Amino acid sequence: MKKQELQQLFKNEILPENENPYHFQEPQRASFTIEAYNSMCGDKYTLYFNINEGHITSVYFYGFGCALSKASISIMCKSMEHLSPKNITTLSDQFIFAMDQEHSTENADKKIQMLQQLKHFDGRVDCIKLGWEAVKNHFENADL
Amino acid sequence: MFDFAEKLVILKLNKNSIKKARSHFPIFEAHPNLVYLDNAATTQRAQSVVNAQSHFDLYENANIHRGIYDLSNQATQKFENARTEIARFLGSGNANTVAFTQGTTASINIVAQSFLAPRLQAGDNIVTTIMEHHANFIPWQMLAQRYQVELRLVPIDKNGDLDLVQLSKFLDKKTKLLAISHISNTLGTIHPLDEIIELAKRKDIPVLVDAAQSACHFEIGVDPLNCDFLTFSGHKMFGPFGIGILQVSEKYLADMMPHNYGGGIIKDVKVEKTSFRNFPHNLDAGTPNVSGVIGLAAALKFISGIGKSDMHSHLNKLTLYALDQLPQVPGIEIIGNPKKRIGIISFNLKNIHPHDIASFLNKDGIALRAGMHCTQPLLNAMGLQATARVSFSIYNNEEEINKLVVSLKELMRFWS
Ligand SMILES: Cc1ncc(COP(=O)(O)O)c(C=O)c1O
Repeated sequence: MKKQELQQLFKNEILPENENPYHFQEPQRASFTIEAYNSMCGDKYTLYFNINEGHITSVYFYGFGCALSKASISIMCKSMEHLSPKNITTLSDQFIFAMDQEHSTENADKKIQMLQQLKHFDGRVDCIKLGWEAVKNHFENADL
Repeated sequence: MFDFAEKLVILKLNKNSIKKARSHFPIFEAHPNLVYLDNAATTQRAQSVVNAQSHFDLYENANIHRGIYDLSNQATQKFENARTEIARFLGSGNANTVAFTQGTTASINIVAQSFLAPRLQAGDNIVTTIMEHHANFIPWQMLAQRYQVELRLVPIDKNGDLDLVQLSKFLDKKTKLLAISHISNTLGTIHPLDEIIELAKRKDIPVLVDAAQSACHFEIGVDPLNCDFLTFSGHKMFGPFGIGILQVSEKYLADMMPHNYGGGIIKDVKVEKTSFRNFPHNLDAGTPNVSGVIGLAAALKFISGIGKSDMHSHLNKLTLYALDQLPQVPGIEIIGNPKKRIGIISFNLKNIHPHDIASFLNKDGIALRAGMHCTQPLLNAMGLQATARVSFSIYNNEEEINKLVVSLKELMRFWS
């Protein structure tokens, strides 16, 4: 990525998401929480899920991290609301798979697609995957 | 007859060579515009180091200590000569105080396992500081948990200086070791080792100094520092990866037990019982990293050629210059303000995470580190999640610090 491209990316996609992250607060109540922590760099978020009749009704997050991890989790939270835990597992699986794949993979969600296109971002892929990995691990190990 | 020596770059190291330091590092031929400010993580490799290593690998290679033939004898001699040279570099005439390890982390773990563990009893304590690299923290924490020993962590003040009053109080009859770094790899604080070691010595407490960040440009060694264990890594002083030093004071040489077992460390092996050689030969089980040792010896020669005191003043000058220039960047916070600091500066920019700083500066050819720098307890104590860190070496100059400042200013403008 050239410097100009990096600036464009941040100006158009990452910084707006950062300034207005989706549901970036600690909610009063949560059915369960997931910790997303990268011990190499210190990024740490708590993800708050509310579930009702087998569907996720809301996802909030709060914590500290870089612009990329924050933007990525913000996009993730929005995309996961109203899904079933099963669909969340599939979604996070697909996202991680897309990030690890050599060839590009399409996603109907424009913002998720934007994140997936950053899979060659030197040294920063872990930032983008942070929240998604945490969700994937949680739901894979949960009894659904 | 192939004469390799003729092909070597003949390095004329004279008094002025700080000015020419950059020319000894081929990395800057490959990347002429690189502003490399991550020297606390690893320094660049000097040409003479690579030459010495590859000369051995290509033309002199044989396993040591075991052959009767010429090549093996010569390799052994070279290996043991390196030990003597390294001892001399550490101000000692006794090569038997010097053991080769894989690096600082390995050296510290060896002290934990082969010296400290056998003498710990429940109720004892180990003193270290909140500022240590994980390499000088976790080995003691693990011992403390396993042997029901108290781990005492000397706190810091808001400037990033150690609380020496508390340190003095921590040292008592039950203290089995004081383990402390010379220079903090996150804040650059130079600890007043003279004073600290004196406190421990008055109570006859053995002292380990983690010299990973100071070995290059301070007069170090168990004798000059009056400590008992000294550890450092080759790769932070222009040498190879995977080689480091553990030096032990004569007082404790006999207390260093073998910690992994195999060939090369034995006096006699019977089916019933094995007896071992003395330190340092009781540590080198298996085949050591011979070319690494030869590379390390070449690195020390390179350092001596330039002169530690010249290196020290150069780093000091750069540090002061950076501390003077960086505050021009709007929204910058320099972390800590220790009484003495050298070579390393951590900072944060308002509203910009260190990782994002590193990604943007990377586009301007500036290499710096972002994160916790393997010092989580320190960052937690200071209420920080991460920092950006610049660290200097002999090939850096003021022009590069100017570039850093320009890039940071541009980033702040872009972000806001
Ligand atoms: C103060 C300090 N101690 C120990 C280490 C660990 O050194 P190594 O990774 O070479 O074992 C480092 C490296 O960053 C350090 O800065």
